[in-house]
Amino acid sequence: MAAAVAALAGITACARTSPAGDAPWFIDATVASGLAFTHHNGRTGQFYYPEVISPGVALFDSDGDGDLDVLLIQSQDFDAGNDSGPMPHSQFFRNDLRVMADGTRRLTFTDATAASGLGLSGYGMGVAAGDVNNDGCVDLLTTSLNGARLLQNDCKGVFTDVSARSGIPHTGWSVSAAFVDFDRDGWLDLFVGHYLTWDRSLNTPCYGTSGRRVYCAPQVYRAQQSHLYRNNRDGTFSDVTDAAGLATQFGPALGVSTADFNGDGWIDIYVANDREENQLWINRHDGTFENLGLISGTALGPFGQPKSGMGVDAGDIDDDGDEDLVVTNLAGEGHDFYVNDGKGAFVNAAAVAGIGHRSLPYTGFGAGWLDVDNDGWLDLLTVNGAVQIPDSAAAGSGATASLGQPQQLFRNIGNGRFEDVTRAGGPGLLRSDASRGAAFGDVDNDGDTDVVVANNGGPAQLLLNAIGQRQHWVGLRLRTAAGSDALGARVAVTTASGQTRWRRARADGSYASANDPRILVGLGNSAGPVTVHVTWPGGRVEDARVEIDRYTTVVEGGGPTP
Amino acid sequence: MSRLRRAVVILAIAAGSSACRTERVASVPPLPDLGAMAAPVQQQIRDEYARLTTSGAASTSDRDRAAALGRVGELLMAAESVPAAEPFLSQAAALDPNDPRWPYFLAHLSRMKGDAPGAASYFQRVLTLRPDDVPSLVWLGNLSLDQGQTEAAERSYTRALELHSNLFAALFGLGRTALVAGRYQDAVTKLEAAAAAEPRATAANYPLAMAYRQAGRLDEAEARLRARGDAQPPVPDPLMAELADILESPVVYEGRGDRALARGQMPAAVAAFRHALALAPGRPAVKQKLATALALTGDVPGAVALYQELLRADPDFAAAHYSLGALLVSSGQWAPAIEQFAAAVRADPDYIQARLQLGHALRRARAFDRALAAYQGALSVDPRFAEARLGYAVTLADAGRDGTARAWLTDGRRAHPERSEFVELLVRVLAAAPDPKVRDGGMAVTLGERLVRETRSWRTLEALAMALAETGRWPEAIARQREAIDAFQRAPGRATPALADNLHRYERREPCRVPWSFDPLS
Repeated sequence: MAAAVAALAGITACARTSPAGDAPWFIDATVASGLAFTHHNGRTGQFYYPEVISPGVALFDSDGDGDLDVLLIQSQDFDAGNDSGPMPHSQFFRNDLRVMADGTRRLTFTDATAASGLGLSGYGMGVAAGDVNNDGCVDLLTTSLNGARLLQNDCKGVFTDVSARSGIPHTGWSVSAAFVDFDRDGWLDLFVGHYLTWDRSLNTPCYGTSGRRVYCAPQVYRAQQSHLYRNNRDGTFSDVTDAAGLATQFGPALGVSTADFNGDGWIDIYVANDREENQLWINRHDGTFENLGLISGTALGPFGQPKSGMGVDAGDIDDDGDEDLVVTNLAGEGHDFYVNDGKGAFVNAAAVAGIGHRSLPYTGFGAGWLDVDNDGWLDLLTVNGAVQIPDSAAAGSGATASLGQPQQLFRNIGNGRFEDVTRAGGPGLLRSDASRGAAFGDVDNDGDTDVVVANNGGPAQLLLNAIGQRQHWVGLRLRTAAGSDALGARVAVTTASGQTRWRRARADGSYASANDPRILVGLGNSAGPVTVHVTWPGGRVEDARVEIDRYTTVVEGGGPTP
Repeated sequence: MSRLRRAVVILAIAAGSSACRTERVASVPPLPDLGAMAAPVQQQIRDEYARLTTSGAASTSDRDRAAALGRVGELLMAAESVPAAEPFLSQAAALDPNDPRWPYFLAHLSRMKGDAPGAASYFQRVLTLRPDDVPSLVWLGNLSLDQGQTEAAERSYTRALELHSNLFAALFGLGRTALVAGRYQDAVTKLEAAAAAEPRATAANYPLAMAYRQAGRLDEAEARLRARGDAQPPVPDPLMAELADILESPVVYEGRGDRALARGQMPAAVAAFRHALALAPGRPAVKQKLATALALTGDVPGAVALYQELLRADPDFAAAHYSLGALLVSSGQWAPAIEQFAAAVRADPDYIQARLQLGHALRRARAFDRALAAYQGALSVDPRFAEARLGYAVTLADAGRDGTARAWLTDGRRAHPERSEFVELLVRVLAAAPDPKVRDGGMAVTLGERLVRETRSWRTLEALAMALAETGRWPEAIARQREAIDAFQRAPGRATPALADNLHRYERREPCRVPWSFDPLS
């Protein structure tokens, strides 16, 4: 009889598999592509809190050659400097993608760390990407246990640390950050999410009920104030945290997503905090923000409980033209899924959507809305990994693998509900890793969204999407007149049949990571050209007609170019 | 339940029953590595396991064997060793399928693993054995709600309510179910019923606020948000309560002590902390808590001796300095209290409570500039710290710097809209500051009337009366002041302020020129 029950379960599982058949939706191309990076968390057995928080990853086009390069953030030993061995450092991989005459692709990465200036040491956490000086090239901000660094790109993929003259102080424990033009002056400003005040002298022993040592809850340490910096348009930034009204409400920030949440045309900032209320900073158009997290319904879990917010992403999952939110949380809490009414009031629909209880076994970090099968509906991938070592594992430095959990892929079935299709995603998703950062982007430029996952204490992973290109799609690079990615620009893509999908250009979101700023819209089997209606960050509106199944660059005020 | 699901449950139970015959001869599951656990806990689990393995004789009944297996499973479960506990409890359930304890614990194990459907099926198994089990009904309702199964949730909560009328957890569950189902007016009605059944359950306020917001009643939503909290009465759950206390672990006894301390049961707290220290003598934090509990039982010499012992071992133990300072404050010894708080701050510059209490003590000693520095120090550590902002503003007013106090209170009100104290103190300053340039009676009345609508207490009523007097609305000022006096007489445990003096002042048509005649931060 037990077999009968199992058989019933099997039927259910089969019903959830891909319409594309049994082939895995993602292929693990890490080794084949040469993306060889292993994160070093410096675990000591002393339960140092930062050991389980990093790292992140960035996908960005460092040299303007049209493909996405990768920066993987490294951490280090806590007594680094006393050791005579080589210091672990972040690694930069140049994408040497080749498209053959027959259309096949050969994806290889070359470790170009030394030449790039990105071999950063220190206890790294995450990274944000954006063009801060409007020279048309992507600059970086890296976060760490001991402060953030601004790295300016010379447009050839060589970066210079300009932190000292930037006005961004190199202090504090920052994890996620976002470049955002909050004042609509055409220059990217910067939000840096800070986490906790911690150093080894403050490390506190915490115990589980059995008396065994555990990592402490975040409340044991004091939350640091996050910071908002305004771009002075001269390579420097001013700290406007106080003036903008962000100084007195903050929590231990781990995730940041910027988008126009209330539909007024100005970009707002959402901050996911660890075990404290999240903030939804609504832009008041005068350089100040008001936290409407509570009344918006996005500050807490569905019934008022603060959760362990980590990863976050905004996207329009129901095609109603506004930004909905997902926030990943700790195992036992379930992820939160907030559906926007278009004016910035959200309903927590995690239970009804089928995301809440299915995520209960997992501690989610990186998260992204992606249209995995290019059917036009945004799906959800969360990358997971525990933060407490199970009691069956020893507490020593070799216990990293014990934090491992599989990833979770939820497919949007178009009625506000999602189905768990992780198995269909393939063995690459079922691997047990202590995943943290995840960057989403079209790494092989084939018209679907791939993922690079940064794992704590383990090798990074490249997951290439193997099913998206089976359907039609349109790819857009939205650029300002200065040539920068127009982060925050919104686009409505309307097919010949009149169906409209809304997306926005963004590099932020997920966890401690930077995403491909290009926009990919799945069109399903709709084969005709599409009309795109772009709302630029400064408020200008433009329409363009573009071809499908290719990338098109749309320049503000200049129209589309292939 | 659908016919298919009912069939699956019956099949699962049948599978469990048939398994019991085969499990009877199954070997005892192995213990996990207990090495990381506290020594007394390891010993407790090993002793119980030894009893189990030595009681394997053929004469042992299935029920006794199940109880022995279940006991080890319970201990492992209490030790958060979830995967290791499961086979013990599963075998117990197979050997004694009529004992609801084993599926009940297995349900919680599944819940702890995040397996909501698995947990629900175990709770349903409990309910086939004990249909009136209220905790199982409530948990089943919660699990159904987590899975978006609103009809099933409603059935479970309704049944629980039939068995236990006015049970907050069931009323609350019904309200939350209506909210998840998008029946917002219904959610308002049901959550209001839950809040009325248990007025101290502040946890009802957040979902109620969301229901009001969705129903378009924004003012009520805002009011509920301000009153939100996490207090809710626990579901009576003897099995889980027993499990919570089962381990001979210092952490468990420390937790018992903490709970007793929070409930004001000081002798129980003292006993629990002493037991925790007996199990793990080297934990200063527990010793510190024991000293606090001793002080609260009235054993001040015992508490002081413990604090001093802690400080001999570690002169930089900031919490001990802080607690000694608090003891000295309670006996009015301001100068030595200031020394202790200052020592706590020196030992731990980030200790904001120590900085706050240092500020309070200096303010009481009328060392205003030093008090302001202490509050400023607390705010530099955490700019969100409303108490320090309040302390700073009150100190400014006490020092006669009314204009700056007004500005601080105005900023504080903006930064902490949830803290009505800023508004109350601002009303008082606007109404009664000696400096006429600071006073603004009209604004004071506007703010005061709104304040009283939201929070009616002797303090807010008195503040409004001051404002009314400042604008020459004498009859209303007198009426409000009388109401303040009535409210004050109903409020327990307060020292008498000069409420009557102000009443007489208003009767003589004289405004008040002292914003407060008591310590507004006490």
